Amino acid sequence: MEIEERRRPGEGELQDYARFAITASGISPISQPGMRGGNYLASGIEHNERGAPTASGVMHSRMTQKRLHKFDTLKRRRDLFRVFGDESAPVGLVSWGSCAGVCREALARARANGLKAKLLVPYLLYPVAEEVYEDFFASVRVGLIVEQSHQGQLYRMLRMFVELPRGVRSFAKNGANPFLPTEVAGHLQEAAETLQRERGDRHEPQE
Amino acid sequence: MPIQNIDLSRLSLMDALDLATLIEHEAHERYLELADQMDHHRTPEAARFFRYMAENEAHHREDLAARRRELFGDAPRGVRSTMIFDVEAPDYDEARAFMTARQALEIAMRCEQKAHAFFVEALPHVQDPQVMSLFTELRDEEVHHQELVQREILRLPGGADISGEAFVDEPSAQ
Amino acid sequence: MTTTLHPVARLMEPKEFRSDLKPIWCPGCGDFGVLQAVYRALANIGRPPHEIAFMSGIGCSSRIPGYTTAYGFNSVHGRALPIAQGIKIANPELLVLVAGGDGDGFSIGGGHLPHAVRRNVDLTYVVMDNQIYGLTKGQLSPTSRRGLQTATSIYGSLEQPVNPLLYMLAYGAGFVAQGTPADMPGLASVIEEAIRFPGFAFVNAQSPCVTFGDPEQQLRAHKANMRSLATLGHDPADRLKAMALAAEYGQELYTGVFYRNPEPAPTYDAQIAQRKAALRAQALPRERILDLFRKTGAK
Repeated sequence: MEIEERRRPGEGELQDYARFAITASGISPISQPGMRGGNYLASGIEHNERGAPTASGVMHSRMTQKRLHKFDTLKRRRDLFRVFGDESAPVGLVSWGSCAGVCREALARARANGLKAKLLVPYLLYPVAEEVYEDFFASVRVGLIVEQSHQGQLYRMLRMFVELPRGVRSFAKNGANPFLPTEVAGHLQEAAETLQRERGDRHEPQE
Repeated sequence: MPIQNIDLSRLSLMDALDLATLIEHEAHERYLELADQMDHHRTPEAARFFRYMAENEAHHREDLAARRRELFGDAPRGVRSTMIFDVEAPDYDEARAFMTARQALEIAMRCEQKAHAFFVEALPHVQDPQVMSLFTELRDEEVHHQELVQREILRLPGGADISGEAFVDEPSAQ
Repeated sequence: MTTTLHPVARLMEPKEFRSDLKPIWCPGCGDFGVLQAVYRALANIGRPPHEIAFMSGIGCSSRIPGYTTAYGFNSVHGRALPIAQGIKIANPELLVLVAGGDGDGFSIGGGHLPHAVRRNVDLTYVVMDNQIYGLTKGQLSPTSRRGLQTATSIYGSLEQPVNPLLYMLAYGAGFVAQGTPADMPGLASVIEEAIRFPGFAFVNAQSPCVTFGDPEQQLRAHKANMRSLATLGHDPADRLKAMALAAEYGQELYTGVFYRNPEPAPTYDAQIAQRKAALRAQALPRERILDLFRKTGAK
């Protein structure tokens, strides 16, 4: 297992250390107690680059910008997303956590019935990596967001941040009883049949 | 007495000068702190006065420090600031937001009085004749300082007694 | 990583612990005295600021870490103690201080207290007890006396106040003391002693709120009423006597050390160090931590 350390200040940075320095990435090197020159105040109240509390609106804007800018690096982390199934499938699922495991089994069942589908599993839920989802949904004709959430929180969150194509729907249900692979496979089958009807084609979708 | 770990009976002249310097320095720093508090809490008259007192204490400190340097150069100090507690410095509890100029002056008067009381109380414990002479001089100087403060109080214009309660102010933003 | 941890003390000055930030407390606030006492205690202890971690919760008193040059962490309401314990366990070489108010410590933070005490991590906890929630402009706090009226309790408190001293003694704290800025030498002294005590140490600093606190319980009243435990002849090794004296909280203002365990229990951090040494031969590097959860033989 690889351990990623937080960025630490170098000797030069400890000469006039600003814990919350505004950097290109938004990430400021963090000292730790024991480091000479690295002393600072950590607080939840808004602060300037040195950590001194401030009520300045200008500084608040700058710091909010800085903090949110850190998400940009995360959004480019495509390694935090995995795709399973057939790359060329016209039907795509999005699911996460334990539901993703069920969806993987459903893919296997669908494949056994001659149906091609694929699954996107995000390991990063927030910030929403819009490009990843846009690329995924652009590559399918029908999308299904599978989640164990009564209100379909992932679906709604994606709708907030991503231009979801018309064919993307929510398959959400609340807790107590988990999804069964047969349930998800059933939805995949329905999606495939819908596609067929739309194309007026008797053949199974193969592309 | 507002000192700790100091044996007055064994105090040398060098230690006594250092002690006296620290007393003035403590008062100087405290007046500056109170001035900052007054500024922050929109009490400018008191802030101005406290800065004036801080300057006075700094002059007293420099005079004593100069005498010490002349006699003892840079010899290491045995007396530390942690050994004295508000000998002449105003108690933090003295200050209040929106205090009047008169109240600020009265604080200064009390500080000069307590410094005087310190030297009066210390003198009987002192053995070294040079220290005795120094403390006597400083005791008498505090009387003079009280007279100066009293003159300032008498110069206050009418209306300087108006209470801060008469003024309504928004809480200061943090 | 550069660390320069030197446990050997040198003579320091209080101003070395004073940061550039100007306190936002009201003029006359008792917390100024507590802060000054902390500066003096740290100067006498002689550890440099970068070796000190100062945690706090939320409230006027919890702003205190920012007014020192130590590493400061102004955390969330009532949660300073768990964070402080974590920091000390992660780096036992640090001098760890914790501060907060009576509400922060005995209301929302109350559930952490017995475990922090029994765990006995070596740290010092200073509560600035002003019997009010001051930052939020004057609400009854756990130590407010019965009958105290505030803007949000106009008919007065109906509740029995918490007794911080008795609680901490009953939980088993090895060091319990009380001070007030009305007695600055005494307050600085108990804070210094608490820091030197090996284990969890508690100081209740009676620190009145001039703006929203009980007008009858300001520093002038402290000066008039405080009684030194030392001059009463109290033996701090006598825990039962300490509890009897602590029970008078609210009626009497005793200053000094109520209890100092003559045989301090082993600290949690010291025990961790011993266990680490004993298990060193079996230890895996942290990159291999997942191996502990795999079936034997699997990789």
